[in-house]
Amino acid sequence: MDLPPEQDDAALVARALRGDGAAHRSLYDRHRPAAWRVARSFADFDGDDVDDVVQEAFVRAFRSLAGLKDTARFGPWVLTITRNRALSRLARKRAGADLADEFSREMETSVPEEAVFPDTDADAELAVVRRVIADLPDGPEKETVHLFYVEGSLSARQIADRLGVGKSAITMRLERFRAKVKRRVLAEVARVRGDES
Amino acid sequence: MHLSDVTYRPLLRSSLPPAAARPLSVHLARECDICEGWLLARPAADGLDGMVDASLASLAPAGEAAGTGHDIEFARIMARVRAPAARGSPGPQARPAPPAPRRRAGPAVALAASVLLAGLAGLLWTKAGPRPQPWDGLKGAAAEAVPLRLRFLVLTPVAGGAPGIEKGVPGQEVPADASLQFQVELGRPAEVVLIRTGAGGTYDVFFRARLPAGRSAVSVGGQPAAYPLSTLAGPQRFLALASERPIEPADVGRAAALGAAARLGEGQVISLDQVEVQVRPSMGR
Repeated sequence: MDLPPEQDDAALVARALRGDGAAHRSLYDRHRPAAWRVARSFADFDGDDVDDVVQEAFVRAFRSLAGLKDTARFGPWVLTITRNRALSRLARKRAGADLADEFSREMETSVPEEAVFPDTDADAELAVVRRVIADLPDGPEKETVHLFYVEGSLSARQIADRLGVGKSAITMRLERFRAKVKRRVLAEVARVRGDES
Repeated sequence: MHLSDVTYRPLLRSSLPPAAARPLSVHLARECDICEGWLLARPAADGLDGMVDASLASLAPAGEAAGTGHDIEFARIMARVRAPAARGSPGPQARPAPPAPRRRAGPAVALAASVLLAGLAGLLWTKAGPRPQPWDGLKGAAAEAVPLRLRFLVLTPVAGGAPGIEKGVPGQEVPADASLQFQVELGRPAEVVLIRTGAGGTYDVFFRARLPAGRSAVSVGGQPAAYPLSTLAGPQRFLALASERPIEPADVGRAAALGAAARLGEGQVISLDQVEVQVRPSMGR
């Protein structure tokens, strides 16, 4: 019988911490596509940026693996790291960081990310996500969300080109949508917490 | 009651009192621009972001192949995980370009093209490459190959000022009066050869050096150097070859023709990476 993905990840993390290279590879193979999708949601990034962000995220995650307490959450954890690497890179780009200097920039020191995850069920969370999408009014935001998350073949930058709107507008639509999803997920987390006595 | 630092972290940590969680749940179940704005304004991602991103990523059609990993990237990652001290240490043959303002290169970069013109004279030769050999199909070649990545900056002259500088994107169109400054990223120390391929199997070797692990800017005589495009037009392909062992001139053409990672004689593996640009002829040509 196959183990649930979270248990698989916990076992893989345990093996990776013992120095098992195949376990590192399995973690990378399992979660690389999702990390890539997170990085592609930033329309300012070209393909090179996306690959760099993904690579940096896995380097940082593997270096900090011993600091991950909830090993079954490796997936969300590496995606959190990916998003933070992307935000840092975006901030540097927007601040006009010198490109040549950026090329040669040393990776930031490997400090484990704080890993606090809300106590939710993955299936319930996915149901929330689907409801939020369904509830979106027809319009540019829903179209963008559908293209990026549901169809899944275009990057945010490619969607900007296809729809003929600015890159930052696409990134903002996706971020607003994510904020809506997070609000609804938090509502569920709070409901479960409130039911405890 | 809107989201705030007082309620958010305790909620994530399951330490918010149930009596406080119940009204918050009711509030968050309704549309609230203030709470969404607060979430949007958070400066860094946290565990909630990771979990939401994981759910969102699962919406894509099953079997979506894009974004899957590959041997070379994984090797790059593990090389850096296992040898953090080696990252980015510049070697005697290469050093990163000095800081320069965005879109405007500093004096050192302005110097690059002229340095290259002098430097390439002793490095560049052109020859007809041998006939391409078929990929030998040996498994494991990619895993043994030195992790390698080739990137570039586009330096564009600006009348009366220092040249503009921008990050190069593979496939982009560049003017013929521009030059390209290459950078090589290696997972392990290796000999690196840079070539430009031409029509009819010809190629120019314009750089050869042993470089350390990490990122190195292509340099000549210790100065950052750039490849001038003034004599070129149309699509141009530049390749980086890397191997832990010396790369013989006879192997260069074969390696360039073989593909992602080439196993040559006596078990030598040569890594390849490439970029292409479209050179747009200048108005005066």
